Amino acid sequence: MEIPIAIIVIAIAVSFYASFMGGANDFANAFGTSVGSKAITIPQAVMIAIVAELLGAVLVGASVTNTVRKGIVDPMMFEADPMILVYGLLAALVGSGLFLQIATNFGLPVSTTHSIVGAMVGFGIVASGFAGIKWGTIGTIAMSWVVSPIGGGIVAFATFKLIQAKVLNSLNPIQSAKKMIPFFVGLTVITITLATIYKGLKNLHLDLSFFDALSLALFGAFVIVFFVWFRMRKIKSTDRKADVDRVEGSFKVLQVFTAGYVAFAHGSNDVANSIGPLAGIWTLFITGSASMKSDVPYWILLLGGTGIVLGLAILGYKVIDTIGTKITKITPSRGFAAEFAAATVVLGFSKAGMPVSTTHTLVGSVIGVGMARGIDALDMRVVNKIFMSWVFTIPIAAVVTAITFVLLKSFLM
Amino acid sequence: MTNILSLFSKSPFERLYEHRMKVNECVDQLKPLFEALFAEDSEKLESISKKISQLEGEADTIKAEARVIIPKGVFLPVNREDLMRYLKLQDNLADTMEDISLIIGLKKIKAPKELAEEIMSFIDTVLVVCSIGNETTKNLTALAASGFKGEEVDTVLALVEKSEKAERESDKVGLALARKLFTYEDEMKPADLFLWFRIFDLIGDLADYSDNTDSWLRNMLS
Repeated sequence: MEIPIAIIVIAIAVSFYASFMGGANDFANAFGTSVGSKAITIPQAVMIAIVAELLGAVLVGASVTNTVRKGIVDPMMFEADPMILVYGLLAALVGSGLFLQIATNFGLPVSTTHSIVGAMVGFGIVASGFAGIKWGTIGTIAMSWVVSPIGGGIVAFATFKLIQAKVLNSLNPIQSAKKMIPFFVGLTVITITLATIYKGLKNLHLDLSFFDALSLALFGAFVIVFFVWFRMRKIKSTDRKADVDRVEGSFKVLQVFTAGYVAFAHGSNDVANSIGPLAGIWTLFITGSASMKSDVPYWILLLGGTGIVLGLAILGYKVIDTIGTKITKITPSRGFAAEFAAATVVLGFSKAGMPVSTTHTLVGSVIGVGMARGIDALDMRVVNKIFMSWVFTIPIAAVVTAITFVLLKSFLM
Repeated sequence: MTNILSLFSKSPFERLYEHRMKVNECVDQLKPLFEALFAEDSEKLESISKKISQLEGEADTIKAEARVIIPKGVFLPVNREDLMRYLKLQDNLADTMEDISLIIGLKKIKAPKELAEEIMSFIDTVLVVCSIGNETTKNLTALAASGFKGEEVDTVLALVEKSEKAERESDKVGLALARKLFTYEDEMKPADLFLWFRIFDLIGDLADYSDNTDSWLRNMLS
């Protein structure tokens, strides 16, 4: 089977565009709480994002990409005529991109993750009927959309309560912070390292056993924790209010870690939205068969990661700039709790191959902190809007893709 | 694009303190008002009354703004209705100040010279209660920052207790003053007697309202 080179070029262009738009829209979500608490400036956020998003996309992005590529529509269904699959994947890219563009123009909050899943469902139904969809995967994905915000909420609630009880309200906040902040830093470093190196670097053939991975993570954590402890050891306590302020200041440092953590999780999860279909087309192009097993090549992950990074650097900062100034102050300890929870949950789901929405998980986490009476005022009407997008994104993205697919097929075949 | 940042609404707690500060500016006119009355300086009396009305109006504006930023659907660490009531109780102080200045403006009222001094010291006891209330509202932001837990709660509860004590004290002084007023009943015009009695009542209300605000905060915390 031969795939015209033009189709490859179009697929590359469209998926680059889709990741660019994704990066632009999600940047505010991934970094909003860090910038909102003034822990980092917008240029700093862009710098962290470039490094962490790229690493997340390239190192962990493959597992979610595989779910988008072959978990929703069974590629084996198109063994007889692989071109159908090629058009379908292309239609999914164009369809979800188009839908995202329209939604953005109308100012609707939509999830890039949801739209690509909807797009794959739309293509699958048109091409092979309802039986062609792996409804089991859809069910699990749909479950994770409910579970991920709730999970984020619970983890954030617990994290903030822990910070409140052990640090902010303790008899000597400075003394407690000297113990708890290195603890949280260590936890963050261990989670990121484990997620990265344990079963993460398949293409590098770095087959570490869990024990090796854990030892490496512990070693990395030890080095960084020592550094943090060393920096904090000289802080002396004065009066209580100044102490609490200073502790919040150290949470700012911690937020630099969690901002990177969220960006890493975002990159690992959301890169699949734009490159999943491209990876599918590329597999067909290289192997000529829908059934051949192959890993997602690094250049595709890198392409998606670059698109995300450029999108957030060029367009994303504007969104933060306009909204960030009008809102209530988020204290660093609250921002940290929300980010830590969201990143942990997103990364957990990504490792399991489940595409979850970073935005929705973070919304759940922020509400979790709010439930712990940690935030002055939360506009729950926004949550309502976001909830509505859950209901509508998948069917609409599915319909747009189905139409695109039918058009593509009639023009090209 | 709606995103995570639009989830964070404006904080109402700083607004509540801003309102309190405006109300306090109004309450601060209480002493100058009576000083002008006793000095029989009608020009000054009128300008202070005007100022009180103006400050009361400004407090109303802040109150309205504070209500606008916490519409239904905004999730707060405290009950929304409780917060509204806190605002209303606080606003009563400004309203009462206006009532006092209006009564004084009704007619030229006279007071026996011996009473004047005691009225001023009654006002002082009321102002003590009000200044404790200022502290309490100031602590609201600290309470929110601590997530309504810990040492900040104890600080506020101590202030509430202090306010209760001060309010009881001012009640006592007010009652004694009213008793004294009626020892002059033969020398004073009945209308003056009536108006003074009413004024004492309203000055006492200031302490009551300020203390009510404090106790309401305790309700909110429990």
